[in-house]
Amino acid sequence: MYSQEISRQTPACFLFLLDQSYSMIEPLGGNESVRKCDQLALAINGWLQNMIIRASGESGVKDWLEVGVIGYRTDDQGNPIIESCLRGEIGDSWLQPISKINDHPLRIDQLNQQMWDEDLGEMTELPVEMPVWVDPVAEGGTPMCSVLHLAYGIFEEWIANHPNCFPPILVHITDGESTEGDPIPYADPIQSLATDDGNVLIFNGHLSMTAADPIYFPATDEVMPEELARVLFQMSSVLPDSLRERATAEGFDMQPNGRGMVFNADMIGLLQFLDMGTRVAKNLR
Amino acid sequence: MMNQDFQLPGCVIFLVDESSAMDVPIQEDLPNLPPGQSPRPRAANVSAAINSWIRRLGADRDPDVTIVGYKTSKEGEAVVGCRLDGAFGDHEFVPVNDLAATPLREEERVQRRPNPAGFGPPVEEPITIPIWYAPEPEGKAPQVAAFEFCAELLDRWEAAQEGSYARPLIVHVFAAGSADGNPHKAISQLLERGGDDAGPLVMNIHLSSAKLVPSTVYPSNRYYLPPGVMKDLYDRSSPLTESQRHTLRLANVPTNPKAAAMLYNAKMPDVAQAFKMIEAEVRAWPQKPVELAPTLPVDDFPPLSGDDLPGDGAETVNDDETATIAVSDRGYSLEKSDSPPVSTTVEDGSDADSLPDNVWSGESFEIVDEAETVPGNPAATLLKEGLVLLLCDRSVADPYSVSDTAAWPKLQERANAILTQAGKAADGRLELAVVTYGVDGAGETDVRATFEGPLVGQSFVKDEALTEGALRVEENWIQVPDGTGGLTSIPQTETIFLEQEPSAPAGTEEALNAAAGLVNQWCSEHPDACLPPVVVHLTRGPGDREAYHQHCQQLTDINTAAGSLVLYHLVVTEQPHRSVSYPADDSQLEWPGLQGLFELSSPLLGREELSVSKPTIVAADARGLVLNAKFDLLWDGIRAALADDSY
Repeated sequence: MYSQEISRQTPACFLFLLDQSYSMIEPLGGNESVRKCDQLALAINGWLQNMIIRASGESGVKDWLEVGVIGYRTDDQGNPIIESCLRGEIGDSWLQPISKINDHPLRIDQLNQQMWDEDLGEMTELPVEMPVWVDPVAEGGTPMCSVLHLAYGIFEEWIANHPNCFPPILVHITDGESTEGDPIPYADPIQSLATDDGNVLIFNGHLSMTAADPIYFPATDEVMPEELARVLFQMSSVLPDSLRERATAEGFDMQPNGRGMVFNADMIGLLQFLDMGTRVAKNLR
Repeated sequence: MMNQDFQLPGCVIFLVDESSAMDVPIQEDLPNLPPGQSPRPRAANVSAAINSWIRRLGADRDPDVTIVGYKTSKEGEAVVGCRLDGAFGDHEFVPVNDLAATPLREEERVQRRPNPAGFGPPVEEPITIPIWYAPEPEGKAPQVAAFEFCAELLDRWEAAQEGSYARPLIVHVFAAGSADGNPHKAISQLLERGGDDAGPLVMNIHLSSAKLVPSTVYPSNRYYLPPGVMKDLYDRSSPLTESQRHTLRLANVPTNPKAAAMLYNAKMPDVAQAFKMIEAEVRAWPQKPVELAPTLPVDDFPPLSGDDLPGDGAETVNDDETATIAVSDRGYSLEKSDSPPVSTTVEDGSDADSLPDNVWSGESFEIVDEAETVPGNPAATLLKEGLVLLLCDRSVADPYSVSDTAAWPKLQERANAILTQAGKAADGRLELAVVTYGVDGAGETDVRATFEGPLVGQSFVKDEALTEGALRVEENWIQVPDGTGGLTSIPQTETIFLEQEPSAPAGTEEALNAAAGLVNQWCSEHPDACLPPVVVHLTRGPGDREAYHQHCQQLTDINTAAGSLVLYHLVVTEQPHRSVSYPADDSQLEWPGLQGLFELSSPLLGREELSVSKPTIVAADARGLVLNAKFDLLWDGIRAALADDSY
């Protein structure tokens, strides 16, 4: 289970669902100078770049991965707006091969990368050029049920075409409750979809506006501090052994039965959460 | 902060949107609004701010001011022009003191002030407010025509100046988008007049269009602004000048060197603060060389304080002068007005205008809390020092089992982090004390009120001595975001002061006695401290609620010249509970014990500045209570309170 190798013949599938509601304009982790929506876009762009690099070989970027990035919000009438965050040439279908993503960034931005300089004993900045695929959006409500319903359809079709592959992974990032009612009846069917190598995995990341205490990869819902956390816990899959072992090997304190979920994350929490997905890449051939 | 390079003052142009978008109520939370009342329209709020600005500056300054409004008529024609009317109907610019002397009319308003008895409902008093600007919004917003008009206005004003003058200020306040084309070119031409460091300074203030969206205030990083209006506004605003950044820094609004004079989605407190910054800028200008006696009768203003002598470069006006002009060389502080104040209220960052012409009539912007003023205690004699005492509850539910949910290990980590931060930001003003409490092996209450390690035996330790005096120092590598969507490792030094075992639950009486004893001792040795003593109680929640409330009184009863003791609670619960930070009410607290802690927690020090710089996290009446989160604003708030001259 969850041991299928990942290659061009047996690719993996990642689908990101990004909350684009109003509240995503709030600060992240108590730091008023950074907004959740901006940090999320930065994190996703960084993740895509990371996966492109891993997928790169001498003959270019190998299509070991198909990736979708879907944003969800509502208009001012409350109607759901669900669209791909990947635009232009890569906005024509929900899932895109990683090589095509590499070929079509929205633009290249110059950012300052912070690094610790041992010799100087201080942080230094290095200008780097980073491709941007996803831009921040924050507007309206949180139609979580509609987007989960869409995700189900996308995975159902993908699995029909890839019955032997590593199961698709859904990475959902939100900062608040669904404004469309209980999302669990829409998440359960997704978790029951499966390939020969195991059930679809759903990971949920929750962003906090304040410097709240984060909860990483919980094993029981008894430590969930509020209803939203309980809902997300129920929607999150238990981490497969392989992923958990790799995280433990990197120094994380992982419990058996820990779920793919982070609650009250700040930027560090978000990035560490997204890393869990990249550990699948260890299966890359 | 005198502009020594200029002989003459500049001029101020208020460029105000008068389109129908300004007829819409302001989009912000007004917790003090009486029930049944809706917020007043944007135009009313903005004109009130401008009228108030004119009244304040007209008292003792004379630079030229004008108000340019823009809208369209019913036929769609642009109606752009100077709105000064009454005695100055045919003038473009008018010296602000002349303007102040002859209002268009006066209006009766009702002002709500706190009950002088100290309790009970606020008292309503009728007051009269002078009005110079009373816009009637209609139609659309012809911004291109408006900015072109400003350029022509400036041409004429500059031609009339005889000598070098300070940079004119254009303060653009608007809600609607431009209806007559993209104003970018018109504004760029204004910005580029005169070259790099000359020419007018253009400030753009966009009024809040969404209550829940926080304001973007003086942004400096264009990259992070969303494309569209915000990025455009950044390009159309002048950078803040050094003196403007200094003024904002004094009000605890940090800005970066490339910060733009721009507010997006601004709420009225942001507008008020920006207007005060403009006021400070104007006060730093030289006076005109022509003698201008203010025509205001002196009895309208209480006598100035002793430092009103025209020392530091202020021009004295002729001997018949009825009011001297005070220019302080420490620069104008947003905290306390040096000009004749017409009220005795404490400046409050969230209070749009602390003067009694509460022009937000019927909707009290901030009920001034007179308990916060320090009557009879001029700021000069209070010393900038203070005490922060950490009261630490070492109890856990079960001291014999190792549990992830145990509170004390987490609280101890917080206490050490708080002391580490105090040591890093130390400037010699604060002293720290630590009291921990638990029960010992024999079941006896165990209260320790001194530091350990190199600082052993000391109850009070100066913040500068903390880092050297740690029990031990830990160097860890932690991961931080690297700015490109990745993580990088950096070394972090943590100083450890507390390393005590968890204990079974203990009563709070002796611990509170010990804390009160220390506080009283310190206060008697430092009677002139400007900060009231601060006690931060780190706890997992009081076992016996009633006993705690009772024993707390010896702390909460402590009153000093600087105010009554400030009691905060930093709580880590062992049963799961949602995280709560700086709440303004107890609605998010699920258990009666926690609600009780809310009642006992003092309002957060520094909340006036913090509620403006961090409006989504800190409300104007936020309390010093943090549950299952970091008390990240503890030192920011205390430093803001220390910086506040009124303490």
